Amino acid sequence: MPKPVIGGVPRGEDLFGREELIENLWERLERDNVLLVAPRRFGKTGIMYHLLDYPQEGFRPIFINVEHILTAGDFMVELMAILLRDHHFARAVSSLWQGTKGFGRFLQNLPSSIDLGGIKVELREKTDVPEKWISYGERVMSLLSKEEPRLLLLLDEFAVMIDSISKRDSEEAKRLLHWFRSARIAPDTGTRFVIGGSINLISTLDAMRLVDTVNDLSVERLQPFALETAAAYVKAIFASRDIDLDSELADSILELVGEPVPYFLAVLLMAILDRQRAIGSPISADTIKAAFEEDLLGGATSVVFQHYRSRIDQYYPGREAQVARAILGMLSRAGRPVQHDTLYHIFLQTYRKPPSPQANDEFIQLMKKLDNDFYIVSRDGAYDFFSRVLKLWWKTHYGFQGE
Amino acid sequence: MTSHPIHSYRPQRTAPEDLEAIFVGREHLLEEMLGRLKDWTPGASRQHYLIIGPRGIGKTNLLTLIAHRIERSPELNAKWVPLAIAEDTYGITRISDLLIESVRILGDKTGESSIRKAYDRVRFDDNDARVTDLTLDAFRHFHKSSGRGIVLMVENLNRLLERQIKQKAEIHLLRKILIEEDWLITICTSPTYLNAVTQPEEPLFEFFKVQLLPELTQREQFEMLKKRAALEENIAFENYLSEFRSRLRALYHFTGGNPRLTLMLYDLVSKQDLSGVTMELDLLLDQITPFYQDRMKEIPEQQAKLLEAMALMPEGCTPTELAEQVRMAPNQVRALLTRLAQAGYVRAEERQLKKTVYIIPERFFRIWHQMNHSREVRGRIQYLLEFFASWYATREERDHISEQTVALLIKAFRDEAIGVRSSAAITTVHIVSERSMPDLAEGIDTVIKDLAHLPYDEAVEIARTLLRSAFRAANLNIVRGVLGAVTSHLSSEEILWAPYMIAAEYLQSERDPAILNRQHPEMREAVQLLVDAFDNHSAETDE
Repeated sequence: MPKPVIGGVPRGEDLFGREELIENLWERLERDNVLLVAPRRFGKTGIMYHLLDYPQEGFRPIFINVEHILTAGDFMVELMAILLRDHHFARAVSSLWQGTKGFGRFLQNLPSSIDLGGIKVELREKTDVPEKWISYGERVMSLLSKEEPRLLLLLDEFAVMIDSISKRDSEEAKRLLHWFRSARIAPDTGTRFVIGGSINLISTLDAMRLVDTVNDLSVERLQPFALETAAAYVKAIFASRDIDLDSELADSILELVGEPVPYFLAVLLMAILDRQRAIGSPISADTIKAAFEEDLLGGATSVVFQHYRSRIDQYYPGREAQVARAILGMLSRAGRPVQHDTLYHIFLQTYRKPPSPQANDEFIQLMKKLDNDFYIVSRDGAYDFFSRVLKLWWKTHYGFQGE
Repeated sequence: MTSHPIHSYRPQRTAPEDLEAIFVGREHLLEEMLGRLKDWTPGASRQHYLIIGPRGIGKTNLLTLIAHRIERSPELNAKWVPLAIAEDTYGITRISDLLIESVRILGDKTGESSIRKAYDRVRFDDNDARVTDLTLDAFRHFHKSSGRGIVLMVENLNRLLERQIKQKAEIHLLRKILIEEDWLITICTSPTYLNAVTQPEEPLFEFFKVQLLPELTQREQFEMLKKRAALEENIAFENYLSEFRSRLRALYHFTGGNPRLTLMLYDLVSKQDLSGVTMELDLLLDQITPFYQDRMKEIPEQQAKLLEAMALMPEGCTPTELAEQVRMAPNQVRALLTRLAQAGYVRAEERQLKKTVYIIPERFFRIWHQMNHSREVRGRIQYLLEFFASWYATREERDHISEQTVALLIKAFRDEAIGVRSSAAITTVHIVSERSMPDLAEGIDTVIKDLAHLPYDEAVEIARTLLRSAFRAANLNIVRGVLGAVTSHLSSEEILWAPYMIAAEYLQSERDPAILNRQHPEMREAVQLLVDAFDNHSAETDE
């Protein structure tokens, strides 16, 4: 039975409702490398861990969280160390130092007390991997390209690493990205890569004029749960606590949340369960409502939504931010999806432009951007907030501002 | 009676059995966390926790109990080793420092030679990367060989991440460790929300399951005192507790359900003969003063100025309002508020129309400031305290007053025959309200005039009873009549009648929230009791 995991990584059966996605990923990985894209808290890391924990035949996954890495040399040390610690790949990677003294001998006589950390220390201090990282990278990727099972490299928080490296040395970041791309597209390589990226990765690389370094990746955008999946998740969570939840109450939970973003759903379910345990009586509609209003909309989680708000100022330059806020404010107040024309009118008003084909194109670009960034969704020529919860929050806090 | 010292400020020094004996109100949270630890298997999800609550709310108690239960349970002890990083560890400025300290504690706790060796190897090493790698290896090796994971308990995470460690790269490293190291679960505490966890650009954004520790309810506070008395076999106090309960309920509005203050109250009341609620509050304030004074000395002057000003203002002020009060630039005030918030002394709250206000979440700290300020403010608190004491008076106390009230009313309305019962005051008011206005007004005025011949305290108490009864009878005419009469004949000090006046104004204005919003929380609670009584929502509870 699954348990909600707040903030951490759901493992095993706690990762719920992603079977189809994972099956698709494995299919894609037969041919392509994948860029997994979603806002924070959509479950990218959970999915990557699932690939790690339950590898498909023919693949041997290695997971690396690279958010702490500050140089390309550090990255290569991290990669080599983890490969050297893996029983299957160690032999191939060790061959780079075969017959050498120093590190070669170290690898031959590796005591059981030495784990990943000890290998990293040796690589940093006793080898030239940090300095000649490109050379080592090329050689190790070449060595592993024909391995069976195939190496599947799962890199989490890739965008953070690139950002950190580029702040210190933008040229090094470029070299790393180029090397990495060449490793991915090497002819006949069996190695595959899954990169976990936030929704800002593409725009970050675009700003660095390096978006072509990831144009080989097949993009997989994580979506919220399908409604049936969400319903099954709610049922399973309560069943794990031996609670037989009334179907009407279960429906009310889904209605409150709207678009079932897994994180919001998990937080709401935990809040309901916490309240139920505290008061000791069966779950009621009041319990659910209180959990929604106080714990999801109003509690610690409400800062999630503030992120959506502050992102506008950060990633939508100048007047575009003002227009975006005006459109979102309008959508938050609307009881139903708003027609394209109405929003276009707001666009023109805020920009103080007359209608024109060019203005229309700019409007469509903006709406696409808002869609890509998971603010809105388009259906049959009308637009609405992507998440009902976000919409409600937006309306409460910003819906009536004169934008 | 046996002695079982409870260390309010250092619960780690208290015998765990004693902490267990007085533990109230957090059982479900404790069970949930221990349940997760018990159910965990290698490769399963790990939940990291962040417990948030003001000082004295019981965060350290909770961690101490978790550690104790892990060590006491063979099943949990086989799976986990709790490691507690001391609350005031100022030497941690990098993740490598945290790891060194953790490995030291593990070595001390288990006596494992490999762990001790690892500590000796790294303790003077200034290469952070090497220290991190080698200590992590030591933990991994410990986990493999013993099959046990680590529950790392870190207090004051806000200070650790926002004042000591600070560098984002270090916090990214921490996050990586918490995600990847399968043997590690953290339970952290903080007096306040911290940017490191609430700001989306921060690495640890939403990384923890946040658990807000609420104040104890009145019932839980009473329960804690009972348990405390039982622990020391203090029969005298246990017997006294029922008598003390009404005053405890009154004090609750000023202490909040703060466990530390509750224990202090026990120490005071069980050891001294205290004659009333005012003395109890005074002594509690005395007791806490050195602690609060030290705290104020630690706070930089400009921030202390803000805190004091906030304590005196109605609760929930914007930076602009505060800037005006202290005659500083709003930008400067905002920056200072940010620092105060990071330290946990104030908290930002979103109110209606996206207005952000700042409050002092620790109620008694605010009361302490107010009591130090002026006689007028002290008077307001005292009168409020009396209001609550009167509200929660025992049945016997109310009966006594009611009899007097009834006697006065019989005299005033002459031809009414009224049965004398314990809730006679209500019955009396109902009968009176059926009379016409001129008679009613005259009758009330007569009653109150007569009260003036009684000793002052007694007269005021009877007047309060009448007012309460009028609210319970949902009769604003009588409320207005009594208020007018008491200010004419008893005391013109409006502060004495403030809760009733504000409640009347609120009800007359059709519940304009602005009237309540500009009050301190204690006054709002007093007004709410009257409004609830007016709405028939409150019952006269007999304890």
